[in-house]
Amino acid sequence: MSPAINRIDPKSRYTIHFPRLLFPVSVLVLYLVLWSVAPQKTWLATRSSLGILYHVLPSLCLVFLLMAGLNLFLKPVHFANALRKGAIIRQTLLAALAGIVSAGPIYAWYPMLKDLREKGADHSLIGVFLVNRAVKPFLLPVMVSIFGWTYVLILTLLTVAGSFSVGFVVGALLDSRNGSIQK
Amino acid sequence: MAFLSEEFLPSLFPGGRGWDSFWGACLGSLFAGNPINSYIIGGQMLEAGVSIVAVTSFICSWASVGLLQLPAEIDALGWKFAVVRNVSCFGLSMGISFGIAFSLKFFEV
Repeated sequence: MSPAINRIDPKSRYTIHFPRLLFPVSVLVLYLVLWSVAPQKTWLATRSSLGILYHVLPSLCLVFLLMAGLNLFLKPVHFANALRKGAIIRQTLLAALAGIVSAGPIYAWYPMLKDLREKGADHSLIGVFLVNRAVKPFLLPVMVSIFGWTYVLILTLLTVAGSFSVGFVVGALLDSRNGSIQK
Repeated sequence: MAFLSEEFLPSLFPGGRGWDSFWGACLGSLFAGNPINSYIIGGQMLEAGVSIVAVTSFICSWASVGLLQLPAEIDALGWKFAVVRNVSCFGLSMGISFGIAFSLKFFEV
């Protein structure tokens, strides 16, 4: 272990990890409370939860690998650069593609979207990007295991097609011809 | 689900595609977090007898409508954009749920 790591205050480790542990610890506490009130139903709920976990575990492993690869190679700045160039159709398609492959919480993307907007990107493009975040290619294995291929394929196609209509509505209401917001 | 009666979830969606879709979208709009949760909850809802229309609008609005992150979206992109986008996505979620129902019937899945 390097000396720099040795100098880390031990208390800060707990401070950093506490928010991550908050949810699982809350669930555990909830289960323990429910166990004391209704043990039979809690056992049924535990078995049901473990069954779901067993069902989606192989898909989750695949999801983890896909997300790791995606986060390694694609950064928000790549999308920002791409969305500022080319014709509107190309920009719209790129916005859709960027939304589909974007990962992580939306809060991480708001600063980049704000920056894009300030540099002149249309509201419609940002709308298309945000709707396409609903398409999660790396979560497809889990979704297919629950709903089946046909459902997932139709839902994905409808979402991508619908994103363009949202982009159109947002653009019609908010974008002026010179790209600035309508008063 | 173990603590809910078999009748509870279907009672939230009493039937009629329009209302099922509307209430599904309302429910999905209230939640935030990784969409994988919506898939698992949606699968459980289907098993409990909730219609595919309600489940689809629930899944779509979970991922595209964000009431909880609305303040952050307003702060970054302005209230006009946030309101127009979220209302549009709410409508889109309902539209997609009707499209799914029609498509699945068409393909007879």
